Amino acid sequence: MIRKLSGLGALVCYTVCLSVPVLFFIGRMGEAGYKLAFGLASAGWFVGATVWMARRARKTAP
Amino acid sequence: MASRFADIAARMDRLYEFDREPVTPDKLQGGGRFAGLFAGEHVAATEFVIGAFFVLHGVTARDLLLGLLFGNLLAVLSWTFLCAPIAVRTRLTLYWYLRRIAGPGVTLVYNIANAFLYCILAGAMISVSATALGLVFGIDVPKLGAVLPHSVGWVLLIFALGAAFTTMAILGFEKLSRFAQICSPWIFLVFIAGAIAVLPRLGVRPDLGNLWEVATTKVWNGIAAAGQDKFGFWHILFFAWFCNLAMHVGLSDLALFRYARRWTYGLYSAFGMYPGHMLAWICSGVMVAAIGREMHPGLMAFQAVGWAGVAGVMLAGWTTANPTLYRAGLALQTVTPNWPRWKITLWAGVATTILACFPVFFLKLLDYVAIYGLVLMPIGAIVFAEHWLFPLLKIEQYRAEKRGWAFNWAALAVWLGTLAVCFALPIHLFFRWLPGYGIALVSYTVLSALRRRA
Repeated sequence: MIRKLSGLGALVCYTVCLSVPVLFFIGRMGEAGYKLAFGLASAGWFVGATVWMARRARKTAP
Repeated sequence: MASRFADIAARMDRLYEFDREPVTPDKLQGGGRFAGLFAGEHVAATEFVIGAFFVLHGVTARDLLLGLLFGNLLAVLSWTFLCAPIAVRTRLTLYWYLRRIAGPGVTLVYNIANAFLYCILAGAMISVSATALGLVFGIDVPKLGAVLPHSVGWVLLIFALGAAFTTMAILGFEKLSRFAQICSPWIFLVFIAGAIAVLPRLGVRPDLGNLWEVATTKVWNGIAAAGQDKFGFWHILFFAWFCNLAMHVGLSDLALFRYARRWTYGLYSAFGMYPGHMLAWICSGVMVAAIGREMHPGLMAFQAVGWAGVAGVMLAGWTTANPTLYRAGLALQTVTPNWPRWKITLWAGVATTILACFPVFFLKLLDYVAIYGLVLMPIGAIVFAEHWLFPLLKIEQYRAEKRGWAFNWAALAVWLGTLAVCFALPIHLFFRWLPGYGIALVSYTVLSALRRRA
């Protein structure tokens, strides 16, 4: 369960990282907001992906 | 002397013992694994510098796009038609295959040359990371054309980073390799996000109507920065082709493709080339144009993505310097009697850190990449000739192995002779490897054929 949730969280954060510069480019977001959102989503990606990877390694370990 | 050499050769063999046997069929990997490996490996700290340098070298947008498109295609085809077929037929690493062809002596020289080149490459990664950390402490980066360290602050910064990278490479190479797998998709995002975010600063309208106009007038406008050569289509094509020359034409990636089910898996290298060596280079070009064409990867990423961009440059340098330091240590371990791994990595780290203090290695990165590929390329030609041409011409293969030669003098002479000719060729550095490859291929075949008659 935690593995799935962390994987999903990482994926969502990755999508946010990709979306916010586009929103800034088309003028729907300010520069400070874009940079803050990118930074927070990046932190989310690292946490989610690290947990997902650790859980996956534990699951596949002999 | 002979017993000393035999001792070194035996130690070198023990070091690579784990991959001495050809890969067995049950260990072969599917294509997806190769796609993932290539996609993860080719978004590194150096991408922040290479794409930016294309802008400073005054390439036009059309030349850049076509050059990268075809140059990367040639790189993919080199992996597919030169490297992968030999790998799936032998299932050996270059180390063991070269040992059969050229003898343990030449393999030792190759290892040492490789270690030295790895140290310089890792040093360039540390310098790139230093441009990011320097922002935090207000330390200026060296100007274009700088060779020597320009300030005490820069040297202290490099030493701090070098010490940190080396310590982490000693303490946890494997853990850091796993962490690098998480970093690499995100670092790719930093490139994409950074390029998109600076478009308004360059004057691109949200409907993208003037994108091409901005690209051709404000980014790749064909005007070289002061002191930089003017690059055209052929420079870009050749650079994209030879950027990983040691891996494909030089056959280092036999180590990778010996696990491939089919030689056509070489095509999966496109998953690394087009996102990393095309898209990321384009993105760093856009970012450098937005900061007024200053070669400062840290500032470029900071202006485009904020502090996350600074972290991106730092992590890109760290995660790519780590395996490079490890490989340099592995290659050096052959000549250091009974030293433990930590001690070798420490000395490789010290050498790398000292080299990193000299900004010339990152400010002349394009030339260094060309020299790196050029130095190791003749070995690829020698192996190719022995593997494919010798059976066709009825020349005996693997004589070094069969006769127990420590040095295949023909191979060593061809390697050094080719390099001497290449460095004397009156053409641009980027183009020298191609005639060099032909020279090495023909001269090794002819020398070996003459030796047969003798």
